[in-house]
Amino acid sequence: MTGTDVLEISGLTVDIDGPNGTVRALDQVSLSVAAGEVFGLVGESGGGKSMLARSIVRQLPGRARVSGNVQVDGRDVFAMDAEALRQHRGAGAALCFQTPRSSLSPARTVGHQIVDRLRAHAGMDQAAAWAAALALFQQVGIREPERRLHTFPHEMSGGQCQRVMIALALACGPRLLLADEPSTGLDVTLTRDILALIAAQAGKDRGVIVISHDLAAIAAICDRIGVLETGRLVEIGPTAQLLTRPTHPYTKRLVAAVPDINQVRASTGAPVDDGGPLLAVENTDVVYRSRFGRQGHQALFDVSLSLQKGETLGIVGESGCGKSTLSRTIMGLIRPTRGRVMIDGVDLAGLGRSRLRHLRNRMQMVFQDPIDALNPRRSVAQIVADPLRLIRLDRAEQDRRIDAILTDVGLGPDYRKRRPHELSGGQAQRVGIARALVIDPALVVLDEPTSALDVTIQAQILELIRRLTARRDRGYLFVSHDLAIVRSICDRVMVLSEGRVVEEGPTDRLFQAPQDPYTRRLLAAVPSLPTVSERHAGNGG
Amino acid sequence: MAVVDDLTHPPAKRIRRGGDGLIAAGSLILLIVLVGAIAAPWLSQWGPTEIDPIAFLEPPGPGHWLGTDGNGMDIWSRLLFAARIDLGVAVASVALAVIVGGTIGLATGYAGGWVEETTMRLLDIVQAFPVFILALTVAALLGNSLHTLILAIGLINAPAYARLMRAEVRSLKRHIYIEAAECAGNSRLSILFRHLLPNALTPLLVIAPLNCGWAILMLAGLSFLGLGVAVPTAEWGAMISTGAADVVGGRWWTSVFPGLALFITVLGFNLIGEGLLQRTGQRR
Amino acid sequence: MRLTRYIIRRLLLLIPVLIGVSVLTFVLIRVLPGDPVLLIVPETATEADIQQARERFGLDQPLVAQYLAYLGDVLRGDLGRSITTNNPVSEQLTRRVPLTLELIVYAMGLALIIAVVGGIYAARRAGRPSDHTARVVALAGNSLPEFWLGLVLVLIFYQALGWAPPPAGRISPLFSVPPITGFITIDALLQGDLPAFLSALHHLMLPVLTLAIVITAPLLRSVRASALEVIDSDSYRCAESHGLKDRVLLFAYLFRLTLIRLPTLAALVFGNLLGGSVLVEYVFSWQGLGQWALRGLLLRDYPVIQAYVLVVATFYVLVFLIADLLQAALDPRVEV
Repeated sequence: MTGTDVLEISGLTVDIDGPNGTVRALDQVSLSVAAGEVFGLVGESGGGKSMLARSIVRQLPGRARVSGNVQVDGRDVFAMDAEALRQHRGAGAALCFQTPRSSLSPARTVGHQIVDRLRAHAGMDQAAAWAAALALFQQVGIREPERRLHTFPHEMSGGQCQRVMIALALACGPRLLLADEPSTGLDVTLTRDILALIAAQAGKDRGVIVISHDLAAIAAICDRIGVLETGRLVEIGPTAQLLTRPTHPYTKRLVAAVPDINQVRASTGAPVDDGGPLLAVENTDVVYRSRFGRQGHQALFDVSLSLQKGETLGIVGESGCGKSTLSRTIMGLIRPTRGRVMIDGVDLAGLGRSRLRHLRNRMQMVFQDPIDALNPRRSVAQIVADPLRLIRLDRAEQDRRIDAILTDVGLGPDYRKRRPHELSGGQAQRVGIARALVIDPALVVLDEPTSALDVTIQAQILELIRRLTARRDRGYLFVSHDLAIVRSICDRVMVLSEGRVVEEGPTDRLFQAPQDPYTRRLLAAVPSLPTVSERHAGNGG
Repeated sequence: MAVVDDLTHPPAKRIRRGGDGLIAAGSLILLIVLVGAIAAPWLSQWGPTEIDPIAFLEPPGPGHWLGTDGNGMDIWSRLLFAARIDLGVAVASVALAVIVGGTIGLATGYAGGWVEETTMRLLDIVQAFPVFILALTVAALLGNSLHTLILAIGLINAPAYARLMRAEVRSLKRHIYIEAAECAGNSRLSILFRHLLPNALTPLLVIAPLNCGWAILMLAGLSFLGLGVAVPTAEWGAMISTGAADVVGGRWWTSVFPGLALFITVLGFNLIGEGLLQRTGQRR
Repeated sequence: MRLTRYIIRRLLLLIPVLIGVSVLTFVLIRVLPGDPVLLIVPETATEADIQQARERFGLDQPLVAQYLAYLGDVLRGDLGRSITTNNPVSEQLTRRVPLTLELIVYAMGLALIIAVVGGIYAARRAGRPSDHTARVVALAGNSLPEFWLGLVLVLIFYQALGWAPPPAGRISPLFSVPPITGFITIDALLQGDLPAFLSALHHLMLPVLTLAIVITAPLLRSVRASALEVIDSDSYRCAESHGLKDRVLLFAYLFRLTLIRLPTLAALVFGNLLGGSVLVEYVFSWQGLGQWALRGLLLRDYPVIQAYVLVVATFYVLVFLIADLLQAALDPRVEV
């Protein structure tokens, strides 16, 4: 299956001189990739994955100091002169940049961008290059390729941009194809297609490296996987072996942190049924009006739901399905175009600004982007104290409450004086959760609270959320695109697609016997490690 | 609880950027000018409007270090006293512009809707107005005193600050922490003053030094045309204006020295402004 | 078709701005202290003479009536007559506008070339000595008072070196160029008078250089900053990492993206030049629009000031329209 080595890295160390001293971005990294092989490089943010990719095309920041050896096709990358380096970039190793939409040149048609690369490396004339560009577009699965050649990147969807990015890299005719986080911003179903497309490029003369923070997503396509932790390659091995018998503690943590779709919520008692529902959404439509009142975009269609105290309801769907609109409508940030949103039987739409404000001690929200949800100029204590102004407390009582809630979310009073820029993503999200809970609300909306976090951190925050929901003293609305996480946390699940509720039911029933075809498709696309390792058991380990 | 990694994460260090050198150089220049302005009576033997009856248009020499002008007044002394007026007008007018423009921008940017539209169109009109006509009319309208000059230059500058503040508020409004503040139960006023204003103020203050430099040039330009500070009062632009007539006769000192003082002071403000822009990452 | 509609819509937006500007001017100059009538009547004039003069210019009418009458005249293309010289204002405008335009167009062209070439050059060598030099020069240029710079240039190039002509007039008195367009360099070329053309350029040299030095600074800094931003962007880095040839990188991936942000700033600089040229005109005794307006203001010559403000405001708005069109042409993401 695999041939000669196209990439050989030995003892690669990269130091970056910064204003706050030198940072070792890569530390004694050695690995090799053979033609025909798909190699996965996994690690969390700051692990050095992108730096490794940049080293291979020798495109490092100005203050980088490099030692060690990188050879592509047997030629030393760091010994090349300018022209040799230009040819190596592209024809030797071609990089598919992360976030393709911003990595394609915005003021040039995608066709021209491909032709530029074909002419630089294959030495084609205009006509031949345009014909080859068309063929490449067909190869990467772009619909209506002739028309698409003449469009600009901003006119394309995220998935199309990713395909164009792959076509750009292929146009250079590389021996080594590097894909940096190719699934960023893509839905589960699309991610699967894109990864399959990338894996298919490994061949007789070409090796492929896929870089990702998401072990589960890429495990299915990789022959071997290397794990990077803060610049060190801590473990490397065939996929099945790495997944089933990880040796390094960091790998073990990564594998353990992958949410498992088969993990069922531990039963912790039934919802408290004390009369009417805590939250009721009835037949709600939300239409966003454009500036001049025409061509409104309808985000929600006839959505209804109800939530009891002590219950956790999951809301699942792909990006753009209306989950965020729904949570913002429930929080009273958006007024529904039709229908009612009732908290304790009070309709939010009928309330004035001031009454709505005072209802906020009954409902709070935790946001997706933990850092941006915190005002950068305020200290942790000030941030957490913000909702307490709704109920006047004396200074001592306020401080006591802040300390108690900070301790409850796992931070403790030491964090009072820190500013948001001094917090990691996980810490920031804990502060966000503390802010939501400090006023002891009856309803908490968790809007994708872990999707912006690294996997191991995500696991820790989820642990906190599980602990909180298990107390059964509030109603929780848990919004997520990740089915595995939802299964492990929620009592009931609602599936949303294009603004409509397609299915709703108790978690176990919905996961074991999904009724709607959309739910079934969604479930089928979820990657999960045990099945992956089974697939590789035959040829890998 | 398994929170090892997450909670042992050390507090991040504040990222330092360049610009400190520029700020230091600019501050040093302004400090020297400021000391000169304050200590003017002790640094020169002559008063700023004192006439030496035996020295008209005398070149630089031991008696008059930088020479005298056509009225027999000592240029070195006038330079020092002029710094008081130029620095004072610049700082005061920019402070006025920040306060007036910032308030308008904050209110309109937060209110949005037709209030914002109307205000912006009004600012369009003011900004399409030739700067000099505006300054001259305001100055002429309210009398030719230092206070009116401050008012005129400040008001001309205010629309730019209003625009900047509005843009800043609009972009801040997109941050989730503003939405989070609303969810946390903040009133509109509380969001405005606790969450928007402190974050929106920095960019305004960062460009203030650049603007002080511009304000000095504006004041000097008005005086050069005879429309600013009244004639015998020492002001750099007015001094250049007096000296302009001597240039063709080759008597360079009457205009070159006040111009140099003007240039160096503005450079000082611009160095600080540039440094601040670099420090805040808005320019490299 | 969409482009035409856009241009028409933008031109229609000009109307409220011009009405606002004219109202503002009208009110501002009439509440100014000082009475133009007193400046033109002879000292022996009686109350009745003064009243008569007032009526002749319609200054006895209520302010609103004066404004409406003025607006009606303007719509008919009549900008009135100067109170002090009794010449038609429009005639003076057509004589003065080309003088100032010639000055600022050359200065702007020169500044743009220096800024674009220098800015991209400096950005590609960011952090190296040539980049630092460019930045220091830009910072210094931004700090120069243009009227003083003009004087210093006169001292050096006329007084000391004798390379430049004296700072008065736009051509040597030995030549006469009958006006066609009013732009003296163009008129000289149209009439095939090369020596006159060279003399005109010679006289333009110092004032144009003065203006160009001052306005290059902000443009250069902006170009350098945009170019740096492009070079640091993922899209440029991606193109570079795919081994494109240097020339392709420079022109197709750097140049155009760098220029996208230039039109707005250039419009601001250019728009302010017309209103701000008065200082340099004053230094070089250039009988342009600025000097004319300055005298009009000092003498409270209402029709002159009103016409000047209208011209400058129109110019300002048109320049911004052109800038927006240019930007839309450069950036496919911008829709007109």
